[in-house]
Amino acid sequence: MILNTINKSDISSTSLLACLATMTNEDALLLLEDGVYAAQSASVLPSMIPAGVTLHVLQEDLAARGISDRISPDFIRVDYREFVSLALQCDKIVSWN
Amino acid sequence: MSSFCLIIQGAPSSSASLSALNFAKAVIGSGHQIHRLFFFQDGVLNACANIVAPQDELHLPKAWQQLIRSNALDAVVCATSALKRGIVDKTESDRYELGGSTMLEGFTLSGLGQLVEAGLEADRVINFAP
Repeated sequence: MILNTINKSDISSTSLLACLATMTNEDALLLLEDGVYAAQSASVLPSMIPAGVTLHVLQEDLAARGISDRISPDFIRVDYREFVSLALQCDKIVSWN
Repeated sequence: MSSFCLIIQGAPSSSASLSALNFAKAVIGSGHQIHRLFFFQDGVLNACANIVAPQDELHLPKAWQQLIRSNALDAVVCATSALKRGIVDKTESDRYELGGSTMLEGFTLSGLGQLVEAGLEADRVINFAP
């Protein structure tokens, strides 16, 4: 089980697309920094994520960008402590840049 | 209790440095351990003693230094990345006849071997890049 982290907007970077292509159904995805934009309900990306992948988004970075109330219900909001727990639940962490 | 190695590749002007700092605080706050902080590439600028931050902004190098000091963390700065960016300790400054140390106290210049060792020893390695 791998935790994949994405810190760039899906508008400016293809890292989320590249990451999605490698994910299997036990993996986890965490969006942080500008990566949180892809968690918006209006984004087409939630529909492209393989079934079984757990989706997380960093609450603090949503709030910093003023989009806390626009998030797809498929995403679980986490704080930094939950981010740490998630990192420990997974065998390894892949940071896509 | 688990241990983490954090790789910080983002300069103080990047979100990556702040994310890494917040993550490091959460690791400690959750009762886990930081095996090593490894500052690499532009991340070495977090160890620069000459950075001045605007008054209403977080001074990331000082915030890192405070975290390192108060938790006695092992904070390694990649020497090759550092020298290229003008970050030197007293020894390197003397060796290259520069004007003195430009590195904050609490950080240590070393090499990639320290990253390899941390990768073997720590339970998790996490990379914060810009």
